[in-house]
Amino acid sequence: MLVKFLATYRQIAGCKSCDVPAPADVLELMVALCNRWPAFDGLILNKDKTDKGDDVIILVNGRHIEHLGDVATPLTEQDYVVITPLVAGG
Amino acid sequence: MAVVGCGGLGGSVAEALSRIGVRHLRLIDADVFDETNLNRQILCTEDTLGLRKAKVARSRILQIDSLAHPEALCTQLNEENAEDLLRGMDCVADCLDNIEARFWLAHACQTLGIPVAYGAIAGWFGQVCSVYPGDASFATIYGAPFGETPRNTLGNPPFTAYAVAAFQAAETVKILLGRPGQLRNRLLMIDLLDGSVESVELR
Repeated sequence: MLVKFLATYRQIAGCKSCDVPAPADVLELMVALCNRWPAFDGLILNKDKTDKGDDVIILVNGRHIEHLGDVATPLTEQDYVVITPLVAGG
Repeated sequence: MAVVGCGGLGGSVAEALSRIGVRHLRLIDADVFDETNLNRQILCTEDTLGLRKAKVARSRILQIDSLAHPEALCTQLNEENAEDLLRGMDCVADCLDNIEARFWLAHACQTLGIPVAYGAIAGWFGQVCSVYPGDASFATIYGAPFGETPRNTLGNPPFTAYAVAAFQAAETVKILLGRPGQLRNRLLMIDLLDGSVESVELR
């Protein structure tokens, strides 16, 4: 499954994207990414590891997970996930 | 058309639109320039510190084009006034700096049937999108409406504002002229640190 990083998350991951085995859902993916890159802890995943971080945008196949099943959104090998920090300044 | 927010993005967007010949610009911003704006906001100089951003933008446009008809509205767009501020516009450039006001702008434009040229920046990164009435793009970008604006710990260098404003002004012109190639249902991601520009499909 393809996971794409944007903005500051690229510096943390050291790459623009990565292929990972599809976990059951978005929460499991966030945990797996934090295990691989501990600097993601507290950013893409909250401190209790029960939900996404406050300032992260997660799109599954181009849709925000808040319009799907939040972190319980199921994932398959065919899915495409984009992870980006929230950008809102002007 | 309206430019909402006359700071880092809005100042440059307004100037670009004026120079390409948009003569009816409604400039909306309640803020005044302060020293923290000097690093990136093109209309902020030592001479304009303490002055209303919308009024400075209006003066700048009249310096560029004395035949233009810019309006300066020194008010904060919110739930109560959004529709009144934007009614009658052909396009709105969203150059705001907080999510709550961005949602009120998007909500009003959906109601009024006005397309939005959206831009946002954080640090060396920015994003641009064109959002038409009926599109879900805004909610796709930010999720549930009216969330809190995160703390911007990245700082905004000047080139990010200029780069994103350039794309945003181009989108505005394409909307006004009905040109193809608009960033509709696509979020353009500009990464100046990486030197890359790419788009993400939105659904």
